Amino acid sequence: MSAGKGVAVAAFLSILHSGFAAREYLRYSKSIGRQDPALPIEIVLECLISLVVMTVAVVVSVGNLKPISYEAEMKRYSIDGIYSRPSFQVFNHRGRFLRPIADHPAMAEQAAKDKAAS
Amino acid sequence: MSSAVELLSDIRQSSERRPFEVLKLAEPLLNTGKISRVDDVWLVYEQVFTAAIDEGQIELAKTILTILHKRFNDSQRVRRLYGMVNEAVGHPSEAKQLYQQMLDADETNVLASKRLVALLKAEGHTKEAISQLVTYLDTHANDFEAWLELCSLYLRHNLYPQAAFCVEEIILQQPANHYFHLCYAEICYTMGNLGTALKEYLRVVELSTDNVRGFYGVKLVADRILELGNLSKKEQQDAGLADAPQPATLQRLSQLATERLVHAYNSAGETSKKTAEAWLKE
Repeated sequence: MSAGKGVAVAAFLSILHSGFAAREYLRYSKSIGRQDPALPIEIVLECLISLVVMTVAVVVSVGNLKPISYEAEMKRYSIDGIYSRPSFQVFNHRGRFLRPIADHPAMAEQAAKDKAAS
Repeated sequence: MSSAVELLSDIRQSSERRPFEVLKLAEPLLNTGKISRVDDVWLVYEQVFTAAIDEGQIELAKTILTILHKRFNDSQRVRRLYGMVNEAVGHPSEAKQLYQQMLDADETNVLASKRLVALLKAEGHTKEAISQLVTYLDTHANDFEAWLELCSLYLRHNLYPQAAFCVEEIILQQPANHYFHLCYAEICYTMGNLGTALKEYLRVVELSTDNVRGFYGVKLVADRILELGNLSKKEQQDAGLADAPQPATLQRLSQLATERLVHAYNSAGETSKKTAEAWLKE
């Protein structure tokens, strides 16, 4: 992982170097009065190769890639969530009586009585 | 502590109704006051509020409501929460009045019109709820939640063709969501429209990997069509079987479903595995 990052940084420096070299070459051409100078192939190749190397290195070093299929996206949703319709929830239900026994003193009393009776 | 916040956010985003867990997770946050340091503190407050009225903890709900009201003074979203408290403590008429006021001020208020429908449903006036929801859907036709609600209201009255229409609308909006295809398939199967049901169940298993409910459906429908055997033209059309697959294909579909179900239950517990195998052998 970190090796990939190192390669990416090196490739980035190499791109910068090619840019610097291109500028130096143009300045030199101008000073000797060359008309319409074309960049030498080494500089162009350095730039392109280091760009490819950097792209690959960044993709490799970035960590685990996430799946992009719609099915993988749908795995995040459950059927309960999809069918739940939160804005239409109603509240006159038995929820308030379903608290666990320990949390509700009256219910705990009732449970103790039931146990004694059985 | 941060994991509790993450869990709360997961529950909120999944929109599942799990009030007890929400309260358990939020209790330490509320008691220690650490909740004010959470990023989306107001969303958490709203979530805990809904959980609290679900669990009948009205005092907690009212405390949270005061905090929310202090921060968002004239928010319609907070006003709706007042109505919800009234619903929970059994004052539906006051809640209705509040929602009506909100609608008078702004008749495009989505939250208030949805609560009015929910209120009618809670009081048992399903028919009024249906007509109100139909009016609402005339304006907000892209609200899949409302279509789903209308579908469930129709199902309460066994109005299967109407319910199927609602799910069709949702499928048009979200054609790749297999849960809606599943719902549609089940309604079609109940209506006796076996041809469409088979196609939809197959779509479900196509869109998701080893969907047990989908494969059960495929097996049920394929076996049922085989059982019916030769029907007259009229009966075939009623069951949507005019372009049904050949019996050999149906048999292979049924076999495939059995195979996938056995595979799915191989990793399950011993009891459920045995039950599934017994059912599949029938």
